[in-house]
Amino acid sequence: MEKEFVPYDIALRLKNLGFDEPCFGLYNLPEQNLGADLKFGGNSNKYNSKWKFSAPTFSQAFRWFREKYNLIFQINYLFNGNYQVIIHKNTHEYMNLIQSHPHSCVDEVPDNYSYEDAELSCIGKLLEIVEQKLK
Amino acid sequence: MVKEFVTYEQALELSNYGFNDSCFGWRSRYTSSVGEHETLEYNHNFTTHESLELFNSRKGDLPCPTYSQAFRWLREKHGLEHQITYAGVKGRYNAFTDDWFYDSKGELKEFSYEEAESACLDRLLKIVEQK
Repeated sequence: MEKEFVPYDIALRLKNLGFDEPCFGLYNLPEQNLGADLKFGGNSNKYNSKWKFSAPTFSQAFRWFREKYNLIFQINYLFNGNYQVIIHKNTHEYMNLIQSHPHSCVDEVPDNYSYEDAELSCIGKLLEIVEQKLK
Repeated sequence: MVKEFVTYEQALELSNYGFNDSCFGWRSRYTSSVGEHETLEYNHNFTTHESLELFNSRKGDLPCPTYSQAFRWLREKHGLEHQITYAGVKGRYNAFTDDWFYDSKGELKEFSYEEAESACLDRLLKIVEQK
């Protein structure tokens, strides 16, 4: 079940971008010295205490990027067992940012690039795009 | 949040094929004098795996995974992949499992993202059934 959830640093970056949907998981802020372990029993960032923040699933976060920022991306299965992340250049609003990458495919695909690696890489790129946009 | 969860039929098929991971949702189907009803409930206040397991064993309810959980299970347990690709039109996607999905004209079928997820899962479940 833990594989469904974005890691701590990603959840924090999502919160900072305004992600406030109800979630099934949460993290504690490190200032509280409660550790950064994933706990089940989340809530929306709107209602969490200042010491806690929501842990969305990858699927929720991806949907949020699709619906809120109209970003277009996909994870492709390559027939050698690896996966590839593509963020489409015709994500119009962000074209300039994405065009700084040489191809619409933003990933080099190393060996043993698992689905989970691809999810993580994809969400990292999406965060980077939106964070740059909002700077 | 509702969009995250598979349908009742899909959850039932997954269960029949051995899916028994913990889920955050559960679906119920019941019949009343005015017809058949279906509900989806989900709870984001669970605190431990144990309480989830307990809830998932509640009699009469069907544990309901998210699409992401179902696809992960199919990938890890059955080696089945799927792909949802942008169709070049805002909000429209093409879908691939063992083959692309085509419409009646023989062209790549276009879906919303959620429709594509559901179509992929249905086809992957068919593949498991045939196995």
